[in-house]
Order: sequence, then structure tokens, then C-alpha cells
Amino acid sequence: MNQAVSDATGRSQVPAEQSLRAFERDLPVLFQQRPGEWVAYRGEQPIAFAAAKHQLYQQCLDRGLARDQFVVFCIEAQETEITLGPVVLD
Amino acid sequence: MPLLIDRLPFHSWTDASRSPPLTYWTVVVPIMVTEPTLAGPPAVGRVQNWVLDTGNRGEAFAWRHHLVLAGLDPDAGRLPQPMTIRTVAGKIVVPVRDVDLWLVSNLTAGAPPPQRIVLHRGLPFHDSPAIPDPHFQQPLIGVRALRSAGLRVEIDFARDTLSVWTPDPSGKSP
Repeated sequence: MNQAVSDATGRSQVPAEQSLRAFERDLPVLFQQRPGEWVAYRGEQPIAFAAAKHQLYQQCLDRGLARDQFVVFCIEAQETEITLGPVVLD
Repeated sequence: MPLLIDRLPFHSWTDASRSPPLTYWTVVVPIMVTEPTLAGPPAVGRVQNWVLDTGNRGEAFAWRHHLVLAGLDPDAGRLPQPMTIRTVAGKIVVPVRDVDLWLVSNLTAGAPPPQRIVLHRGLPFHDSPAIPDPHFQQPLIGVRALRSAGLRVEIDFARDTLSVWTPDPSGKSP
């Protein structure tokens, strides 16, 4: 179970993973309603939408939220794996 | 479509340790990396050469060092979903940092402002403290990012140059 935690300043932080799980849960419906838009989650709740990512960040920051108190997602299929060419990692 | 990059030479280098020396070429684009919160292009910033990687089916890939070079904290602004990177050598899971990329013009007169390239899934990066090899471990920009930015790209292998046009602000195709 996800729980809010506090950072060194005592500010409540909701784990970003909680937002990810909520977004994954909501994505099928969101994609039908707002494909290609951006959504911000705080914990399990969507708190704002925008057409552009930077606009959504500004909306959230203007509300007094810190960067680590919300997560933004694009309402589209989520890529979790990419294939690179002959890149040298180490 | 407005011209942004005009016949930019490929990046090339010669391995003089080989006999005879062996020359390599890479198609690169000038990129600035910023926080994803900027309303407009950054006034100043460090420009890095990113490899235009048509074999990369994702958006982009970099090393921790490239975020540091851009003045960003690789440990902040991370997205909760990591990315699996599959290569010919196997696969690894890497962290993802939310950033915006800005494609920088090489025009000298009347240069247009940098063009934002929004990374929908953020920037996956190899989280290693080692300094990447400047020839073999350059940051990569892939097909998905180029498509979402709606760029027109011309690679001229007769002259070893790259030109890039940005979408027409009116939305009309050429």
C-alpha cells in the first residue's frame, strides 16, 4: 500500500509510483476522452489537463505544488521498452 | 516549411591509431536540454551534438553525463516508469528524467529560435558516473521524437551534410 511520506522539510510527498498506477488504471478512458493531451496526477487523482506539457507544469507550479508533488503523463500508449542500434553502453 | 539547419556537416573523426587511419561519420543535430517547464526557448544554454539515430525506435537516449553537462540534476525530475533498453548485447533497465530538447539553428543571419522537441516519455539515460566516450557514446535522438516534432530532414550523403526544416506555423504542408 502506498503511503504519503515526508521529506526533510516536512512537506508531504505522495509516491510517484502511486500516480503511475492510477494513470495506468485511467488511461483507457482518458485516451477515449482526451487523446494526446497531458494530465497531471497528484497521488491517485488527476489534478489538471493541458494541451502542452510545459503548460501543464506551469499550471501545477502556479498552484504552489513542487515538482516532486505531481507527475505528468501524455495521454497515449506508454512506451516501456526501446530498441537501440549497435550502441556501446559500457 | 522554415529552414532551421542548413547543410550542417556530419560529425567526423579519424582513428589515427589504425593503419591506415580510419574515418567515421555520424549525423548529428545541435541540441539544448532543459527542464520541461520553460514557456519559451532558453536564452542561453550548452549546445550538445546528438546523434540522429533512425535505428532508435524510441524518442531519445543519453548518458548521465549529458544531463550534468546541460546543468540538470539527473537525480531530480525523474519519472516513475523506468525504461527497458534493448540492444544487440541484451537489455537493461534505466531511469527516465523529464526534460525538453531544443533543436538549435546553425543559420548565422536571422536565425530562428530553437525548436522545442517534446519528449512524451522523458529521457531515458544510462545512470553511470563514467564519462561516456565522445565518439561512441553520444546522446541519441530517435524516430519517435523526430516524428512528433514534425520535422523535415534531408541527409545529403554526397556532401556529408544535414538540413532540417520545422513545421510551418500556419500548419500548411509544403
